[in-house]
Amino acid sequence: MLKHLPVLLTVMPLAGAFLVPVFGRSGRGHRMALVTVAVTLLAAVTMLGITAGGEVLRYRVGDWPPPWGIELRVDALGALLASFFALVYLAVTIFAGRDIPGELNPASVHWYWSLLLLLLAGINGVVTAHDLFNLFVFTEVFSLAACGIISIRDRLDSLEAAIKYLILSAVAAGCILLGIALVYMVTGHLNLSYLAAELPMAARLYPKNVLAMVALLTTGFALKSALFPLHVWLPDAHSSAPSPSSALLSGLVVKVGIVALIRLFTTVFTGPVIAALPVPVFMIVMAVGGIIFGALFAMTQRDLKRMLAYSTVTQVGYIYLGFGLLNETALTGALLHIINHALLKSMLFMCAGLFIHRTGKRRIADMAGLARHMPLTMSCFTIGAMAMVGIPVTNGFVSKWHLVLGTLHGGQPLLAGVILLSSLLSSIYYFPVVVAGWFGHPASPPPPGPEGPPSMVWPIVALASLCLILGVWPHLPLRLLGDVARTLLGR
Amino acid sequence: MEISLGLFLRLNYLVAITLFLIGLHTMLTHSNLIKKVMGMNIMETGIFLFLVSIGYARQSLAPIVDQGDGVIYANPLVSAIVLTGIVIAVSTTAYTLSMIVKLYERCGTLDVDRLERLRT
Repeated sequence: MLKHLPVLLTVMPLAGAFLVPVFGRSGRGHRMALVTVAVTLLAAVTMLGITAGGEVLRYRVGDWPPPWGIELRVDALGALLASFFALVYLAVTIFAGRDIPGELNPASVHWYWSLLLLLLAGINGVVTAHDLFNLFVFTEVFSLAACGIISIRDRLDSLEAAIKYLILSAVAAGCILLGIALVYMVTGHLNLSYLAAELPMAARLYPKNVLAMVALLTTGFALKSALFPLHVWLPDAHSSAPSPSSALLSGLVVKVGIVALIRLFTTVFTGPVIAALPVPVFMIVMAVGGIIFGALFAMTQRDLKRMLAYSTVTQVGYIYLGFGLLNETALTGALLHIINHALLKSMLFMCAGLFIHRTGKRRIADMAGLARHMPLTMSCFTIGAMAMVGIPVTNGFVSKWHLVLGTLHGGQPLLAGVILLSSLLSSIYYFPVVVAGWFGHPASPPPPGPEGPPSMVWPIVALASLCLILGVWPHLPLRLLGDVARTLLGR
Repeated sequence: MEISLGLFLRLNYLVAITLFLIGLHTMLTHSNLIKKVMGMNIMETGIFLFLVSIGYARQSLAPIVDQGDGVIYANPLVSAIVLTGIVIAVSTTAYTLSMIVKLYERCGTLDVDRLERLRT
């Protein structure tokens, strides 16, 4: 059983996704999804326990040895990401139990749980893949499922956003598949370890093929993860989806493309292959663009969820910045920011979802004075806003601190200035919401009553406390990610 | 020069790249949603042609064992990849088209420019 954990991480949610439409019609679907996600979390945490010491779990699908068979690998990074992603997933699934039936057509509610599990299967598939084509297939699985959880809300804006996302996602898929064809053409392998061994030779013989391949794969995954200026689909998609979907899309789905790129650039495109190509510089430039422009666009938004969506563009920029610098501290910061932002942004979107659920309004101006009626949710939103800005004792501070240190280690003090400037800009768009929420006067108070159903409030509180805990005691993930970054960079 | 000559000698690659570019251009520039979906399919056809061409060597046979010694086989792996790719392409196309049908029922138009204006 323990031996099969890497593949179970994908197979369990996949099986759940097919069982829910069959057995989960009469309101049982939510419980089935919860159980599946909880079991997946358990599997991921078990693997984290095994891999934390530096061991790597290798799994041969169907017992065919590589390079013929498909190989899955789970290292400490994969296990840590899978655990945190499953944790966020559990919180969002609990939250969705009360939110989704109100937002969707009753006939399509059980399909939502099915799509949710399919999305988890795709994400875990990418995290564990050690084979380029497997990576592509699971990228497509999670992209289609992600479009599904947007368009299932049967409204015009969701439909348009989903079509836009799907078409750009198909462009990305085309780029990735052509990149895979080019790399297979010059090396004859798809397994990442074998590719890593063959590619330096191929790069010397066919430099143009390798150049085109790196460009296509980078563009493809950057489009999937909304790196500026390829972020155009993100604000519409993330703001028009139902709130639990927004939480998953912003928190997890955009990160998966980055995880895939980090895998490729640390295992395959290393040393002599990449030395001549300016990809890291390109990534840093685009990341800086994303950081600045994401923040500027976020400042002009009136809709709360749209503002949060533009803030995601900025945060993706941070992660790419840390990744593009390719030094140990910056990469640690980037990996930590993947986890921290997954917790934070899901929490913020769930807060926004609860505001909308309670008041029926979604403009920032309507948030004034809400703290009187929803003190717990507003406190959590405040913690999230503080972490986004990077105020100490929150987890956002720790990852930004490492990113700034990383820019200084990399000898780029100007980029440290960009991070500080962007923190200032984030405070310009996050704090008015918080200040108005606590001290403003509501134009029309919401109907009296409790803050919200406990199953919607407590997941938010749990994630917010986790943000604080990781802000005060960041040692555990930090030490693990420091080791991971050292291993990935080959030092 | 070197590249273009090489491409003319291997016509498959030239056609594949042309198809890919036609598809990509259609997808990104046309405002009609159906044409975008067609572009998507043309682009994917280009990629599939490219993949199949990689696996083919001149005068190679279908990869069935027991055809005697000294026979060159075409690479079966790329065909498997293309099959998987086709499945993904079909499902993406079906899903996009179903959403376009819904959109058309709501708005009565397929023109992206007009849709962009419809929403505030």
